[in-house]
Amino acid sequence: MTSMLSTAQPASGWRELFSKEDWWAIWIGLGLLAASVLLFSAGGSMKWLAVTPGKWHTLGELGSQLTANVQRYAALFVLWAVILGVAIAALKISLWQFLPSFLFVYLASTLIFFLGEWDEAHHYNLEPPLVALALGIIIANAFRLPAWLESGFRVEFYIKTGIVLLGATLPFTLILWAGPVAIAQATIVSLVTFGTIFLVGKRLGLDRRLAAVLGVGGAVCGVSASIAIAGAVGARKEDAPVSISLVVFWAIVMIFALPIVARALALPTGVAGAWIGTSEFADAAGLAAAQAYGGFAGNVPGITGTPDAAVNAFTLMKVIGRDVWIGIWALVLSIVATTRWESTGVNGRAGAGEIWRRFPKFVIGFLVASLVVTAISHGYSFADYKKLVEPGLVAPIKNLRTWAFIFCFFSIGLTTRFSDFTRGGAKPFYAFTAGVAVNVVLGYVLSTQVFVGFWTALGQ
Amino acid sequence: MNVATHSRACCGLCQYFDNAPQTLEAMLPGLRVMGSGYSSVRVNDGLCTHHDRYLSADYVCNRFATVEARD
Repeated sequence: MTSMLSTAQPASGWRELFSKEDWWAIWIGLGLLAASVLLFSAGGSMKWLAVTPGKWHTLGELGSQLTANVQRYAALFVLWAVILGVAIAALKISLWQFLPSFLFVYLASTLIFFLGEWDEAHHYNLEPPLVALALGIIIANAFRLPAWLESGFRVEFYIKTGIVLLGATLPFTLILWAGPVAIAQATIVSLVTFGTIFLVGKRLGLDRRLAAVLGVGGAVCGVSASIAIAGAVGARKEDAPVSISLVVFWAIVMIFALPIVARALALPTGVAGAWIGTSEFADAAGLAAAQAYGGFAGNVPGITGTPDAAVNAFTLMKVIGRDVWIGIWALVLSIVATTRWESTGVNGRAGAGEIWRRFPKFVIGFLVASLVVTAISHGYSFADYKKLVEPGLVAPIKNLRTWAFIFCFFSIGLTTRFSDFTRGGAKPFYAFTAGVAVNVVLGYVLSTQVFVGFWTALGQ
Repeated sequence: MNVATHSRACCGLCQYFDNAPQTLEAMLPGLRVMGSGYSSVRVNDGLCTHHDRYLSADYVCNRFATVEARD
């Protein structure tokens, strides 16, 4: 008998509301939105608090901006520290380790944000998402960071909070209009990618459960899918880390590769966002690539579409098209594993409830935020929306979203260790890479040929 | 304990099962990079130290042992 460890508890629906970061992302995102709506209704705005750097050319201009707004940046730090800190404490992560770590993340993010607003930044490819990622990777791999400092590197928490806030800037009508196309494109790519990885993996002699974990990691939602399917099929302890390391490796490669190739092909922002949403392997990585590409609009000759279109198209493809189906994948593979694959001594009892239990709940917050702002905007003419609602309500939320994303991108870099990429051996790498090749090509064809008119229109 | 006679004899209540998010993030390298131990999609899955598997808390097997049994 091995060590006795159990801290296990049976599933509890209500407890999840305060024990999972998805729900905390919803409470924080919708809480910020509610505060913004209340202030807007009273004739005010969160503009003062939701500060972001403006364009600058000389160091003197940069210094003047910082001096003039130092109180606002300090207040914004306090806001984030308090709301994130409440969630961190509820998740039973050490608050006293989180706070100094988050201060480090916030200060570095501020530096990266300012760098991105330098009017020569695009000339040197200093896109904030890519700079954040690269800086984080350099720090994490060149220095040995103390364990306590890692408490604030909560990639998923930041990205989920940012996606809920993103919902407030995306009209619900757009989600209804684009959702079916995103689902259709994602379904094609997901099925083909999963099939490729699973069949190549089987041909190479991999265990079926490992092949399934790899397949869904490449086809659906990366690390989250890997861990969800590993649990659903009862995979070996080492299977999920093998898949995770491959997902992270290829996701990091694609963060840089997809925007570079899309830029070389001068793809419109909406089209590039759809391709990234189809062919990236993780929400956080894809948003970094999509936001970086959106930054090219208006700055790089030949790239048409709005800056937001890349992020919007990515989110529709990845979140609505791919992520929300993880529960169905888990249910189907759990049944197949239990009834068709070799026995492992443990047996699953999955039912239809699995679909809801594994649903990425933060998507609910994303949809609710979109509904709320769409409903509020409905009462305004387009001119009044542009004059009142956008600057007073939507822009501050968008600024807060941008902060959450930069925290996330920097944290990706800070948690990425090159030494982790060697895990698993050659066969899983070959199987996953076969899926990557198919996924990228198929995603490109669907985004730039089959549905190109649709994604181009989204960007306009 | 006989699994067949105890409807609650699932992995989630077994002494060999550990699903604390902090433990999983430490034991599953890379989980924190673009994922999380606190994610909804993970539900209450955890590690079985008897079978060396990562599985749902709803799984069952014939080696079930209550947490109290270790005391």
